[in-house]
Amino acid sequence: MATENLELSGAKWAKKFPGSTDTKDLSGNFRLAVEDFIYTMQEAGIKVKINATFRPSKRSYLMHYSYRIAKNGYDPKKVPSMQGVNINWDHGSKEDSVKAARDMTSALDIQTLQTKPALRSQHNSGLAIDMNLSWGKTVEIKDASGNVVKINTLPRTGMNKQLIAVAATFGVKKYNGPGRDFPHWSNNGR
Amino acid sequence: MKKICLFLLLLLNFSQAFSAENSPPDVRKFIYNAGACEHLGGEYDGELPKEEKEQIKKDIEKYCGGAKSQFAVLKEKYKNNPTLLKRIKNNYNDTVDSYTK
Repeated sequence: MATENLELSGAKWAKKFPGSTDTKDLSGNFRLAVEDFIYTMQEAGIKVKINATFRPSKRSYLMHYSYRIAKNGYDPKKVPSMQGVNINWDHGSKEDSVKAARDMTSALDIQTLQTKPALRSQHNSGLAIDMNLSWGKTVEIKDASGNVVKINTLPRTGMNKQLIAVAATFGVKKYNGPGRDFPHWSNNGR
Repeated sequence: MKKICLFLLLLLNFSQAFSAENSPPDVRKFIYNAGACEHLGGEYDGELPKEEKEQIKKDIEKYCGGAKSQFAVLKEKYKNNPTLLKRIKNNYNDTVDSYTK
């Protein structure tokens, strides 16, 4: 791509490819599964607050390379292009390129992160949702087959094992990989 | 031919599972931390609520920081064990490598 058609990197790029908190941006069957699960939780009196659903790969690309140029000394001339992102990382001098990348990391609020943001996650495929769940007392909830399940154990959050089992009947899996990720649910537990 | 391929695939899976279970505890812990770190690298986004961002940052410090410091120790400790060393290096991912205090 000719560089004259490209727009120089900088803070303004942070707003170009926003992430979503809407379930309609999730993919195919996973969207249906999540929407059914949320509906049944709300019917049971569980409060649902969605923090993130789909994140465009273009956003991850901007986060990843602005971070690497600003913080890891990555050469702006070597950043691979991405279809649909008409960005020019090279301002002609290293100093200007790094400054623009730093401005981007500030605007993207990743400047204090201690590692580079990954280029890919389940959110990029619309196959993950971050949500906070809470309820005040024992609730009765229907699983995907219509069986009523009484949730009478603690904690009253998304980490509740009974709720996690109900979610699985819909095809919504709590994060079960190494470490922890309290708000994260996906199609495969990752 | 199909049967041979299936057998080889099962053998490969078995040997991977076997070696994972039989790694020393410090290597298993490193692999766990490195995996958690890799996941977290894909989770952070400045658009998330403040509370979630802070939690991810804390966890990055714990898991990525843990894996990075373990890597240096394990590489030296198992330098004469090529199988383990390979396993350690294979699990040392970009997200761990990029971690800085």
